[in-house]
Amino acid sequence: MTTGSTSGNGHVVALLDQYRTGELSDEQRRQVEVHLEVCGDCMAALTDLAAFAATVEKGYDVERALAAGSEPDWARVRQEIVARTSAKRAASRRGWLARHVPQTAAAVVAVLAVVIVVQQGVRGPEDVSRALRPTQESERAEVDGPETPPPVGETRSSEEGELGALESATETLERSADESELHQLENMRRGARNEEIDRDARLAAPDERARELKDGAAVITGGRAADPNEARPGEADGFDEANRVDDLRENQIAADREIGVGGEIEHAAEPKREVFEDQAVQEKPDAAAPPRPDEEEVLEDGYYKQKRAAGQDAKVAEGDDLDVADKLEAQIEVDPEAEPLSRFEMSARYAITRSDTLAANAALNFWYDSLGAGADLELPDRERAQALADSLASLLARRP
Amino acid sequence: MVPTCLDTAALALAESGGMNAESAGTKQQEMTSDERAEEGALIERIVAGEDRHYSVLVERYQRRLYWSCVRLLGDADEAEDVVQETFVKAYERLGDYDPTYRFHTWIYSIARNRCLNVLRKKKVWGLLSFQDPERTPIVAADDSADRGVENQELGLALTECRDTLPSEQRECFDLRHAEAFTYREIAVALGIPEGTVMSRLGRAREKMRICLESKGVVWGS
Repeated sequence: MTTGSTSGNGHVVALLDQYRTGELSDEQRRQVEVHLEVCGDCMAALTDLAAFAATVEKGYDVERALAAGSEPDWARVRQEIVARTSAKRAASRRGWLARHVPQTAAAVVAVLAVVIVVQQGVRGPEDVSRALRPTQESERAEVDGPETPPPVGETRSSEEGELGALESATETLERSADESELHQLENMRRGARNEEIDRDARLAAPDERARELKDGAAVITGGRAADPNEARPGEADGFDEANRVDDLRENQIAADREIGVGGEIEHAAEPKREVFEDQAVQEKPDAAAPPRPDEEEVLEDGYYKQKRAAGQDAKVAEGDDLDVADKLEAQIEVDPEAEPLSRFEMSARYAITRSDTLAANAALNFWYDSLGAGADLELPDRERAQALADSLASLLARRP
Repeated sequence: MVPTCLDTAALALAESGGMNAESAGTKQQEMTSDERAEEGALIERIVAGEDRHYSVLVERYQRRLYWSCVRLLGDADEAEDVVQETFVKAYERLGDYDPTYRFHTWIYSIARNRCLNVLRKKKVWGLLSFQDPERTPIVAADDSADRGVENQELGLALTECRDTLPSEQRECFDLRHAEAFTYREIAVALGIPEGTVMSRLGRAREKMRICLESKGVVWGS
């Protein structure tokens, strides 16, 4: 019995173990088989090796069986491993956010800078003032005969280029899955489209222009229905000059505010919260599902109390002057003394019941940053919180 | 005297020689391929983000890995810790897994490195005995009617004989006969050439034969 020794004189002993388990190449296998047909020693060695291996393997089984009582509880071990990998996953997600938020913010700043430059190139202060004086142009057109078309192609192509750039930037941001920046970009894109509508209205015939101006204003303000036959007080002749100027001014202010062009117009320097809040209303897919009144009351009431206590009565007197960041902070910080888990649950429910993606984003960040994705929570709490986190993620994923 | 402990399949293989050995080997290869394909798909899904499937891999390999670690470390508690750390590490590096090798080979390599780290800290690599009294004792399970005294003696004889092997030979021998690693897989897991695996296994078998025979274990006719 020479199993394992190197073969000599054409013997194939060294290959028998691999032959036994089918590890040899076809050529080696044929070589072994040819030799086994004529060599009794090698055939005996193969038989002996197989018996030896079977005995040893049986011995290993017995060894394991003898120590079966000392084996760990495998379900527990598995649970612990899965919990640890979940924590690692959460940590890696936090790491991703930390790496990408600055990059995305830089990209948004760059896009904004480009938009501002393009805006100033296409529509400087003179263009703005011209846009605010359409009546003079129309009067001149009536006197001079057929209206001389402005450089429509140039203006439109510039605006189309701007829209294209914004949409391209939107796609980039969508790929980076950064929700808040996407909000801002959507605002800008909508602003640019509304501005395009506005300019088209200015270029159209006076009668149609009057109607379209009304539509455009309704689109931007999201307000009243755009019925061209609906007469307002003082509109006996279709559209008086004062109303037209007012609507044009509203359109321009609203568009500039949404694009974020500040400084040229006094109103454009207003905070962006109205845009965000308006959009939040538009984005709610289930506006018929109001938040639980008690919860909202508690949230907002608690926040106002805090602000008042901090001497900010003027800001929070009516509650409507909160900006977006304050509102998000209110949901998380309504009761800073409470346990992080209950703060998360309250803010998550707030976001889910209102389908508020901004609040969902804030709650999800809190889930990862302060609760470590539930890694340290006990099982019933962790499952409940995880379900809320999943709902928040779904809410954000559903967002167009 | 411990009687022969050949199981039916081994007897059939031993008695029928090469052709049956070939077919048995082929069958094993086919099963391995199927298993590998299923496992590869599972791992792809985990890497793609379906993390819940990782528990399937854990369930499949935790016990085998634990026993590999017990043999290397000689300590049940330390082995359990290493198993947990290994699976966490493997999860982090799952994207690096090369599906041309079995997952078991890959994760064993991770576990082995961690075991060696533990042993290096204690400076006891190569000196361990599986039944070192200093270590957490491995409690024998209650006897059942199916598990005779003879089998117990076989298990104890195997343990004692393994302990006489140098650590390098013992590791090769364990991987080959306890874990059913191929020569190639052993070479990959230990980072040594296949020829070295062959020579270590040959020497280990010779020593084990002599030791087991001296303890009354017999095999074959």
